[in-house]
Order: sequence, then structure tokens, then C-alpha cells
Amino acid sequence: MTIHDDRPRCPVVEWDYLAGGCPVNSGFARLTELGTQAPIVEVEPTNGLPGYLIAATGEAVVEVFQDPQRFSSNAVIPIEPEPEYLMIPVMIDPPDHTTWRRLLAPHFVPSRVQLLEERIRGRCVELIEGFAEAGSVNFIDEFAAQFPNFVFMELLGLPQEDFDQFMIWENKIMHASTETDPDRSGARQAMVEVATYLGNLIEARRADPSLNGDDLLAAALNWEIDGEPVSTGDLQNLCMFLFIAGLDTVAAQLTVMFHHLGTHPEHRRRIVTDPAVIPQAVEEYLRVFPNVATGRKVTTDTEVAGVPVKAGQMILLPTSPAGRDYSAYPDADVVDFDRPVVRHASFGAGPHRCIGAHLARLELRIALEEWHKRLPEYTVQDPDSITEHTGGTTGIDKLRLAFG
Amino acid sequence: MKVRLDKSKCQGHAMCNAVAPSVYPLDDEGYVAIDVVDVDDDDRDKAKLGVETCPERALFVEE
Repeated sequence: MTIHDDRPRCPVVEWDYLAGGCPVNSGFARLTELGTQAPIVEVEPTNGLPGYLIAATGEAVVEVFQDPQRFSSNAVIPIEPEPEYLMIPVMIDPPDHTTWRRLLAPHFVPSRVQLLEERIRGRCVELIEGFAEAGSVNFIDEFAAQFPNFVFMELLGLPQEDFDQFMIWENKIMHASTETDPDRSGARQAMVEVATYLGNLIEARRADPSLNGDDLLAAALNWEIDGEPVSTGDLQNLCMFLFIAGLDTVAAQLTVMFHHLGTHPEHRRRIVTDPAVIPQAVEEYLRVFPNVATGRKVTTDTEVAGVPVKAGQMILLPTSPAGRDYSAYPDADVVDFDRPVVRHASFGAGPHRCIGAHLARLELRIALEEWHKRLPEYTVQDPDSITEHTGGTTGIDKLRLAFG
Repeated sequence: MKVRLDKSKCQGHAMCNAVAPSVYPLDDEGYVAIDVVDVDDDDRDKAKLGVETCPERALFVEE
């Protein structure tokens, strides 16, 4: 017996979740191509990695983001469907997630992050002036990675004398390569060290409230969930997640923006001569060059954008198809600071949308403002050699800017 | 012109607030603090831009 089923089927595609050494910004076109095949495509298990689905159109991505009942975030990395770790709050589903979110939200609203502006701007200026006379800069190591690390430490009220140690941990965790850390044991060890550091700090600040300033961690020590203080373990998980979520993403966004400006003099001159355009430029760069891909697990047999999916399947959710939506923008891959409407889901959508979005925008805006006041003329060194890595965060591997 | 918010969809992106702060005030948790708002003629264009940039499609123009 044949049952006729005319619902759209899932095309099977070739996809490497951790593709590396790719030409800069080439991942976007690969995703766009998938979206022309179907809203949901399937990657089969390969090389010991489990298979998963990819949401490849903006409509499909946003549908999954917006429905935590059908699409759980108890697993958010498509090749890790049964995680033994818990990142708070991103891996918690509503209604418990809502409780966490209400506690965190007031610390991340636009008016609140504005209070950090002066200190963030001051540090940004220090960093730029540190290399402004050098003639060129290794942009990621000397600026893009350091700047958000400072902001993370400010947000939690961590002592700035530990800055260099955090940079060492950040490098070991985020930039482990086959050459430097073949079995990733260095990255795992650094994760344990950060968690231990944060656990000790939380205990010390519980024991001696005079150590607490006006920061997020100080507030969190007084939080209660269901009438109980939040445990040190949960606070550790929360801080670890803020560390992971806020550093590489902002660093990658800064790098891709400055790569574009360093290779597009007309855009760069616009930023220099018309700094009022910077907030629109930041938004347009977020639309064209989003760097995050997350995931969800299907909880029940259902459909996404009309395509059937099964309970237990993982879905890779790249954010780029929402902003690079060719039905809304015929020239979706072109950077245009004067678009009347800039709509994207580069910070995700639904209840888990990036809580740090307003802080990230502030960092990106300040970096563009302060850099171009001091270094209006610069170029990308060896522009044909620029490559990107992919995975949870897409980012440029190395970028040297010359301004001498 | 009136703009209505579907509160269940608002996630605090605050894109609308960025383009039209007087039309779309935020509450203490960063969500848009309106149900329905009467938009002055002077604010029409900004208010419509807020509707169009919402990543959640949570705002609706009601003439």
C-alpha cells in the first residue's frame, strides 16, 4: 500500500558544522543556497557526528525561535543532542526560564546598559591609543577580544587586576586549534579554571558583602527562586554562560565590521565624516554579518514552515537567513547604511532572544566612534588571505589593519 | 493611526523604542509598555518604522 503524502520533504544536504579555513563571509552564501532548496534541510550523520536539520529561511528560523513548547532549548548545539552541561538561562525552557529572565532583564535594558557607557568608552580609548602609534594592529588579539572581556568583567564587578588571566582563559577556550590544543584538553581545563574562579568569588562575596559593588553578581546574590536563594552552582553556570555568550560574539562582530570598513573606503569615509550614521551602520552590519548559529530540539512531531519534523531531531538555527532575506531585500548581501527599514533576527527571537543585545550594540557603537576619531585611514593587510571559521560563532581567523 | 502590541510576542528587542521612543516606551524589564497607542500625525512615520523593524512581528497598525 502506498500512502500519498504531498507535504514538502526535507532535501538532504552536505554540511560541515565546524567548517574552517573558508573564504571570509562565504558561509552566508552557502546558507542562502540551502534556503533556495527548502525552509528545512537535513544533514545526515557522518564521521561519528549525529545528523540534524537546518532551518534555512528567515521564516523557518523565527518560527522555531518563537515556539519553545515545540522546540526546546535543553540542547542548543546540533551536534550535542544530549548535553551533560547546563548553560543558564539559555538551556532552560519556560516557565522556569521566565523566572530567570525577569531577574536578569532589568540589568540589560537600554537605560541600564547606558550607565556603563562612560567606563566602556574610557577603556575603548585606552586600547586604541595603546597601538595607534604602532602603524598596524593585530585587530583580534589587541582589540576585538580584549574590549568585550573588559565589559564582561565590569558587568559582573570582577577585579580588573585579573584581566590578563581572563584573556588567557578566553584564548584557550575560544581559540583552541588543532595545532595548539589537538584534543581540546587545554580548553576544557580553562573552563574548569574559570568555573572554579567564579565559584570562589561567589562564595567570597557571599561571606563578605562589603566586596559587592553595584554590579550584576552583587544583585544576583540576593535573588530568590521559589523562596530559595539561588545556589552558587547556578550562579556559576549563569556567569559562565555570560562569559561565553558575550565575548566571542562581540569580538567576531567587531572584526567583520572593521574588515568590511578596511576593504570599503566609501563606507569608512561615511563613518568618519558622518558619525551620526553609526547606530544605523551597526544595525546594518548586524543584519548583513550576523555571527551566531544556535539550535533547538524538536519536542513533538510537527511542521516547520510546512515541512514535517520529528520529535528528538535537532535543528541548527543560523541567524543570518532572517536578516539576509532576499524577499525583503533584493540586494540582501549589500551593506547599505541608508536602508529605510533594517529588520533582522541576529540576536535571535522568541523568549531566549539575546539579553545582551543592547550592551552589544553599545560596545559596537562606541568602538566605531572612538576608532574613527583617532584612526580614520586604514586598510586590511593581505586582504586575499582572510579566512573564517564557522560553528556556533562564525568569525574571521586573523585580521591585521594597517594605518601607518 | 493606532498601533497595537501583541504582548505575548514582545521580547524586548526595543527596536521600536530606538526609532520612536515617545510612541513605544519600555517597562522596567525592557518590554514595550503599551497595549494600544494613538499615534500623533507627527509620529506616524517613526511609529510605522517601529512596526516594520520588529523582529517578532509583535506590532500592528490599526487605522
